[in-house]
Amino acid sequence: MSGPARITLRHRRWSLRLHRRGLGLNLMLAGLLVAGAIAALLQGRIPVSPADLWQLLTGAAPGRAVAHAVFDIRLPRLLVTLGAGAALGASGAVFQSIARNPLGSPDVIGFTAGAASGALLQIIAFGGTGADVVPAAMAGALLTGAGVYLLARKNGRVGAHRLVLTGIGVGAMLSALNALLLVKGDLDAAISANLWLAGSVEGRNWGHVWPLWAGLALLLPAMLFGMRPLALMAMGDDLAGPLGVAVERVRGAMLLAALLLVALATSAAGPIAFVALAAPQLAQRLGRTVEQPLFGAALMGALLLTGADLLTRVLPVGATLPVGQVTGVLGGLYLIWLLTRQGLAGQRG
Amino acid sequence: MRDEGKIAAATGAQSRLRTQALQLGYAGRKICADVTLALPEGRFSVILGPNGCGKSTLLRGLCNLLPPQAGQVLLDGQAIARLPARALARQIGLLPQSAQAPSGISVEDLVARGRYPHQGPFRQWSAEDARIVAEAMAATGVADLAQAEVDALSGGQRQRVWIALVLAQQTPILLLDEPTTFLDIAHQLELLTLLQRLNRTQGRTIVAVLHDLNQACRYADHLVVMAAGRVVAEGPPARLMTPDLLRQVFGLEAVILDDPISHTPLIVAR
Repeated sequence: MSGPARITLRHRRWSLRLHRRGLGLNLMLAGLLVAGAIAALLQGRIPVSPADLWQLLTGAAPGRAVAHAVFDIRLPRLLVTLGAGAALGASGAVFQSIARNPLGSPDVIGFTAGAASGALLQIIAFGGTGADVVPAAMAGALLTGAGVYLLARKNGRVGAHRLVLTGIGVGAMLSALNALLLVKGDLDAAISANLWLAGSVEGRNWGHVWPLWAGLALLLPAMLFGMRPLALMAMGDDLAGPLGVAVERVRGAMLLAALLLVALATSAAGPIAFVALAAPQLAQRLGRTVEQPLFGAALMGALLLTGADLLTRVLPVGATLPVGQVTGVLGGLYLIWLLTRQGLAGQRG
Repeated sequence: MRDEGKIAAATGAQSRLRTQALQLGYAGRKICADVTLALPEGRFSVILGPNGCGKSTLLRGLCNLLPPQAGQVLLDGQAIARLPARALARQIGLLPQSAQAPSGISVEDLVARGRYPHQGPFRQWSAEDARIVAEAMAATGVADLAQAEVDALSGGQRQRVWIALVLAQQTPILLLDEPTTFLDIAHQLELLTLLQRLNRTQGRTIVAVLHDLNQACRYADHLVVMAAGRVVAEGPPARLMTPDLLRQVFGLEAVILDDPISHTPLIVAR
């Protein structure tokens, strides 16, 4: 090891303590994200050159077709991809920290299924399309979250194990409900519902971008305050409480914030598998941090999803390979590789 | 107040931490009832009693980890249930039985977490924090292990690291729930000697739940004996330990001898 593991930034009485390797990882991820974003803006049916992008950025107009392709199609799609990936990664970090288990991810414990139920109900029962699905998916995720939280509560506390097990049970029920909705709905609605269920960032517009990014801008900084108490709670409520952590209040607030992020991401991009599960694990292992890294997980999630979306566009497998399926393959392979390389350290408890 | 005078006379010390008709329990289940108690300031107190008598529950109540069902816990005359969590955490520290070290954490990072109640979102690490963490590790003899991973330590070392964490919290009052469990006899004595030294040299009030009667008599200044959720006796070991009390509380027939080394009561079962 070279140099101290942590660096302290000081200004008068203020100080921030940062994890050196984690910080390095975040800078690297940010760099890769910029590269991925540029690639995503250049890639597509209408040719856009780097020179065109530069002109757009500096305010000159290189032509209406190019401006339309970048501003109306590719930029919203890119921003939905980045935002949904970041939201899923950050919420995964919070859920896994509260559940003290990598399996405590929102896609495992039923919240993604809940969002899907809301969306499917809207599509199949009310013939909703496009933007109608957003509030329905939000409502589905929030209702599921409230249900799981109340069911997992006992004696005024939410136990880590109870949360995971209750969530898995509720998720299984909702998945069955989703399958039933697909079978019962008429063919056209079922096809459009199935498309949504695969998780896709295709054809997203600015209406999908704003709520997602507004949510991220509000929630992420607020959640950062909760990460230190959560790290203490990972050592047990009995230790964190007497250290001055308002355990139940922190847990409730962080669960709500993480749930909102999942709901926002899912309503914008459909149910995306694996990002919430893999991103925090990858960020934690690569950064060698003891705590769950919130920003690291967000950046990693954004990178995973952007990479997966680029892959769907470059791979010669046909017109629409949904990004939600690619993330499963990508993240899964990488996680398996890491696990076999490093053993199961960090998965106890 | 008359009560306070009596307690001070009995123990030779004032007390900051007291309970009044305290009742503790979980949803509909009552575990401790009508506990009125004053823990002497600057002394090493030990809570004794048979399994399931409510010792750990009382300890959890004393730091408001378990809010009272009735009655109250008072710190300097103020109900601790109404104190802000961080303010309380600067006065009373608890080492629970169930603490779990995150895997991969270093000794120094773990001990540093004890500074939490003295820090803020934008005051995450001061020179004072660094000094106090170093002192806590030195006092518990784990300074050489600062960069070691907690997972790799022996049981005795690990328990000293946890004690260093609560020391770094710098609370005048320190509660410990069965700190000697899972340690072999040599490490048990080492740990109790460490607690005694912290009490004598730093003047901290220490309250520990222990199981071993002879260890309790040897190290404690003040004993609190519980049975079935109530405090049945309290006072200095030499005066408190009688064959009658042992029969009544533990159902134990025993003789009490003079410990030839420490000259404290030595309990030998018949």
